Amino acid sequence: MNDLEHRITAAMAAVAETTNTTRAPALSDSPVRPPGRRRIRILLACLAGIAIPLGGLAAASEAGLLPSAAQRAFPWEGHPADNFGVDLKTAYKIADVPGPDGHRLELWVGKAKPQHVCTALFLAKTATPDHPEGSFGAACYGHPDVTAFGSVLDTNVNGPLHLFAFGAGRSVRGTLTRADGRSVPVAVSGGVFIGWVAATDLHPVVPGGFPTERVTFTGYDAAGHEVGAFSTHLQ
Amino acid sequence: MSRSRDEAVTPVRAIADPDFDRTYRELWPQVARVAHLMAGSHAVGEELAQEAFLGLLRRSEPVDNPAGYLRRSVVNAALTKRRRDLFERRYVATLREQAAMPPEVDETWQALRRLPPRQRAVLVLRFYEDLSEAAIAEVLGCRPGTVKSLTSRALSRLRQDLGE
Repeated sequence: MNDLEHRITAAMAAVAETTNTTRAPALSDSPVRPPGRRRIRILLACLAGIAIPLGGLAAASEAGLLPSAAQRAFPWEGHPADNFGVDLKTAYKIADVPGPDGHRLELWVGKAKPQHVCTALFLAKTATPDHPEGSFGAACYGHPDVTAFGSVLDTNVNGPLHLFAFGAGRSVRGTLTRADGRSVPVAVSGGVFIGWVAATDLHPVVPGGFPTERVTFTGYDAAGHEVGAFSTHLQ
Repeated sequence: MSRSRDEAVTPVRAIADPDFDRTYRELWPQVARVAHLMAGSHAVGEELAQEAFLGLLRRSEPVDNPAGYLRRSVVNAALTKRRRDLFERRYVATLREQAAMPPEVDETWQALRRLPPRQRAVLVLRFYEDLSEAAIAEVLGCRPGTVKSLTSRALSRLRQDLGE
């Protein structure tokens, strides 16, 4: 084995050692903490919240109508995780529908580099739209057309709810068929299927993991013709 | 009022399958590590590993070699386009990983993460899983010659990237 191969082996071993493998043995009906990736998002939001007062005031003030929670969620230029460098000035709200408990569910989009887009999904209080109840972090991807039919924009578990946003293409309405066969209407806003459903445990869940449910979205155009259908996981 | 994510708790259904439980406990650490290396991110790797175990759980027929099945599931999931999109989405995990590593390890890891997925896959399977070219070819569903070529290109790119 040469030096480079030794280096690769050592790096992989070191990285593998940082993998958190301690969550596996949780076999019970008792409540568990949210999975690690979600806690990481919370951590990111906290770090970004610290970064704004320290060095991001200029960026925040240039953000125009972008709510503060979305600013914290997006990995903007100068952000600790700025590999996507969202341009806050161009960020816009693409979808906005009534959410649970008098909140609104909003999806914001920001252009990122290189040729990426990032989206931030969060619940906003109707009375104070600039101070949303919760931010769920940003999701970034390399397909700039966020409304492309079936594109995965975000899906999160928030307390007892699955929140989701998927590209709806030219659909103007849609249905969501759940794992147990029930079909419910789903809102289309800004070319996006966006909404929330109560999380269930009808489906198998890996012990210690997060709930996930295989669902099917079907979109319809203004004339009532089916645009298409796609299956995905809410998780 | 909805709860914040930090407060969220989620009921998890118990799995009444002692065989699966044992397999899960035994194989989770290794599968999670391989998935982490494949994904380039702990968070995404965890997601891939979870999905692989879900796939195993949902199978109606028993699997002779669960470790092999899970490895193949993780690698294949990591190589599909949708999963690659997911990697990009889950950029957040890099924060913690970058902070925890010595400079040389970090530099090498970042170079590995920049490799195309199939090139990274062959290196993970060869240098972490210690598989032969034939075994890697079986996991990836390609010819051993393809594995050789992918390995060669990956090493060449790393040499260039790391200035060796």
